[in-house]
Amino acid sequence: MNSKILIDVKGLKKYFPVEAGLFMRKIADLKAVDDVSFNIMRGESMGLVGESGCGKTTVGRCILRLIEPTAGKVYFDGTDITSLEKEELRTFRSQMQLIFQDPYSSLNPRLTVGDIISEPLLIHQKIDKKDINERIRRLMVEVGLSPSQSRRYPHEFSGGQKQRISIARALSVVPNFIVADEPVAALDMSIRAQILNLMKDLQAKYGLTYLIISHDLTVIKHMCNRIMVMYLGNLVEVAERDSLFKRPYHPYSFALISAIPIPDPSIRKKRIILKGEVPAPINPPSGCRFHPRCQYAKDLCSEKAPVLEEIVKNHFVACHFADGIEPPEGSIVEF
Amino acid sequence: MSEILLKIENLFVQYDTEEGIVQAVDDVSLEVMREEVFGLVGESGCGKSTLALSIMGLLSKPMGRIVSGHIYLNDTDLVGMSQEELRNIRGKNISMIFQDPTASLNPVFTVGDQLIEAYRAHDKNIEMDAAKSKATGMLRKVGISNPETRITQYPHEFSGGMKQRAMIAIGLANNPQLLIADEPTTNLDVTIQAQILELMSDLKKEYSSSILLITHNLGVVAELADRVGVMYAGRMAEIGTARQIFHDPQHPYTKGLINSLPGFKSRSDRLPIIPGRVPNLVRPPSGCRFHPRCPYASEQCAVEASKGRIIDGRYVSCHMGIKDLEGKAGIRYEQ
Repeated sequence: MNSKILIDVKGLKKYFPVEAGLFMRKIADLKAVDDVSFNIMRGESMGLVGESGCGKTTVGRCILRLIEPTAGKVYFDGTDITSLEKEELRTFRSQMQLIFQDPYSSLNPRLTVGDIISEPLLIHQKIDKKDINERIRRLMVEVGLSPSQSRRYPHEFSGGQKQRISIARALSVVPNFIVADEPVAALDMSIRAQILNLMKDLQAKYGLTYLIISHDLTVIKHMCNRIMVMYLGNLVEVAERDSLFKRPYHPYSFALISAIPIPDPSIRKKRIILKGEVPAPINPPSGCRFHPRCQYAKDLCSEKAPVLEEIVKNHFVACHFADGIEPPEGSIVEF
Repeated sequence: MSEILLKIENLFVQYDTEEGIVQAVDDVSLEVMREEVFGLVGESGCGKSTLALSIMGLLSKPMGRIVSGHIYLNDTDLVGMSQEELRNIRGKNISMIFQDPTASLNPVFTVGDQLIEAYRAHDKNIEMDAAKSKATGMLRKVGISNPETRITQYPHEFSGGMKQRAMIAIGLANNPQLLIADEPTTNLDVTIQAQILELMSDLKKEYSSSILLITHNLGVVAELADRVGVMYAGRMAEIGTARQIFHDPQHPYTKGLINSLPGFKSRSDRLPIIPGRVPNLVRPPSGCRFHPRCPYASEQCAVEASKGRIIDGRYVSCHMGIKDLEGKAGIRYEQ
């Protein structure tokens, strides 16, 4: 095993049963994540981007085994965590943490900030009780909070400060891998940059590895060195950041990138308007799941699902015709 | 006919809250020209939605009230009008689309009923058949395919993007002079946002309505708006053409916001941030409300807010920004 790889995901599937009727019999599977494989290098920031319902949050939770995958393996530093028993899993958990989108509902309103931050520490028994206050103090300073506020409750803090509390909680057990699921989506504009800077600083200082999940390509572009694009439970493109934004190869990526509203009135790019909406994952289209919305689709696309293939170095795309298509003139501008 | 459609003059709006009186809109003036898209930008709680509700006469009573000021539509003051008179104007001269189309459509009536109601409310004599065919035509115009079937369906049978299209159809039903769009794409996915933005810019060309576009997304404003107003903590920071605001902002808040956007070129790893947080409007800061967060604040700023001036057609409310525009040494922004 290459020691540069921290997270290695192989053939990950997560199906949620769809139940109906009086006896709640299973009538179908909702294929939230359907055969996804990728790896994350030590110290890198991997971005996972896609629209609501594409399965990006489910991928994040399966990696941490907060939900049980239906199939597939997740190797963390060489160990398959999908086969770990509860106790073993718990020791692994201290190495991986999650930052949620909504700092308003992810903090227990009945605990003080100090208790929230130290809770993971106590669970993982990483510290003597007597050292705890000093640790809380240091963590609060680290994320830009005043230690004198450790006895306050979450409702006394603003959204940005609450997200700082979540970050302090995640850091408390000295993890080496953090999944951040829409870390700034719920925050005000002038606060987002503060939190993104904090996440970058902490990564540099502690050598953290991030998986950042977001629908916002500007956040992903700023934070990540590699990016995965997800559509209806599948990865459609995986590439290094600059490579993806300069020359995307998947028609869905064309549309996503061209749809980013650019805060510069002198840039007029051509938006690619996709037909229709994302279909329901309960009954996904045959073949390539994107084909009903794809302007380049041919017969093959509805018959056979494409797999990720390397089209140029370190740039993977799942499209039968990636070789022959180009983004429409003026749709991809440098920004 | 004057070029000015909507003129807001020295508007003050207050809310009673448990903590005390909130001055949600504090001496705001602006003009929306005919056939213009005016973008109103600001963070949550800056007063932008309150301003919209004031124009519509829909402030929640008795907590919210217009204390003083004028809102002229075609030189007629809406402030002080009876509900009866306002009802005649709402939906006909001014209409509004909201952020959350799910909450603004009535779930127990079909989409067709709600659209037909918009016609019948302002034209008592219209035949049912005529209203129905108008409704079908309108749905087709906003890009809803198969409108004959769609008008018989209920809102829950529509997806998020389709609901927002239906809301736009209702908003435009009576060909209003002013369409207020409050965060029209905020809850939508990126590719659906692109569809709605495309639709709005098409409709803007087709109808000669003016649009007051309220959003926190600077990218959306840059793509659609002709002129832009930036609000902070209940006050107008500056107003200018989209190019002036994005290329040559004169208020440090605007400059800070634009600089802090992640993901755009010439961004280093650390984003320039606006320090601190959005103030609580029950006890707003003295003087200029932005001064505690402003890197250029002088002693004067803490004591006395800028009265605001119009120089070369653009409005600026900042002591330093005004000096800049007058050619004296004010802020020298690094380019």
